[in-house]
Amino acid sequence: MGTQPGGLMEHGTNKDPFDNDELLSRCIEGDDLAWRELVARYSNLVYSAAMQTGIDTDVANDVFQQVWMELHRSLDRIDNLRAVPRWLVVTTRRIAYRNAVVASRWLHDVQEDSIEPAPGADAHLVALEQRHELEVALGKISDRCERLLRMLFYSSRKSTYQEISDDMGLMSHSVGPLRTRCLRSLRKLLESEQ
Amino acid sequence: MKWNDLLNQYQDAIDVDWAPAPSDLVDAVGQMHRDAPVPRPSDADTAHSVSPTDVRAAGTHTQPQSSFVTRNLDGIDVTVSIQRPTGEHLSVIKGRSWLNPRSEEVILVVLARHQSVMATHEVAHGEVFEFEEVLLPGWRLEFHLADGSVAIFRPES
Repeated sequence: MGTQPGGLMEHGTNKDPFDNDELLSRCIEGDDLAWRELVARYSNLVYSAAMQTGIDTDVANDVFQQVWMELHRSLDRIDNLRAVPRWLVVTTRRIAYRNAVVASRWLHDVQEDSIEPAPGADAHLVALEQRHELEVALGKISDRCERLLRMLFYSSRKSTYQEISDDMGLMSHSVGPLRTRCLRSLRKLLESEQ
Repeated sequence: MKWNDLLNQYQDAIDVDWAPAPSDLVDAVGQMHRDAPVPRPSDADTAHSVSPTDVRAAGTHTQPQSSFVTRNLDGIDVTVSIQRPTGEHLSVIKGRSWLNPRSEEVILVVLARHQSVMATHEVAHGEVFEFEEVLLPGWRLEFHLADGSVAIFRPES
């Protein structure tokens, strides 16, 4: 069972318990709620980055915890929340790589020179950051929109309007307008984060 | 932005293998908040450390894949050896630090790079510290003293 991609925020209200400017400072001050929000907000990004290196689940669990320990130690040094996603992915790769070396294993997806790529130079890293943005945005819109857009985005095959209306208990003619409204909300959220 | 534009822009992101973190792990990490973060050295600390007040042992003695450095930073003498076994991509940093004048206070030795505190080790005067880490250019050792001052060791300075 995964965590809510948007953290502890309330679905459909677009309200975060902390705004981006204060979340880090509250964590540094020792605010437990802020720390839990930070963990909830980025946990799936860290875990996905760990699994992407090719390590098995047990090692990924260790790496996951080590990354958060390192973030906790480093909180005072990170200038703003925007730097956190890349920091987390790069740190995850380094720790996964380190653990693999210590265990004399070889990680085909992580070389020493790929631990810290130049900004924009690593397509996997960019895609992972974008997926995080997408998941956060989906977590902020209403449950109904989230469900609809997940069916449209992530379904292994494209669902028809009829299938979507059956699944969601909607009139088939209302799927199109709902999709438009949901897309508009998602787009707004994505643009506000850029 | 139209629907297809959005799909195109985020296509790589949609194709990413996304692995939700197990909730028990997230809960455990969420309760981790115990120790205070390691404070960032002030600009003054950083400036002073870039130019060590004294460099002893004729600077750096280098052998293939290893180096040994002794320095006198402000109020603290440090000896550091850096070993990088061939082909393993993992470096071992060993060292000792001596307070000058001698004191019983504990020194927090921090292995850091850019915005990351990679590892920490608490030592008393003359005790050995050791780190085993993947080191990329730009790493440093910070010696945090009880009075809040920080001496910084940079291998390249």
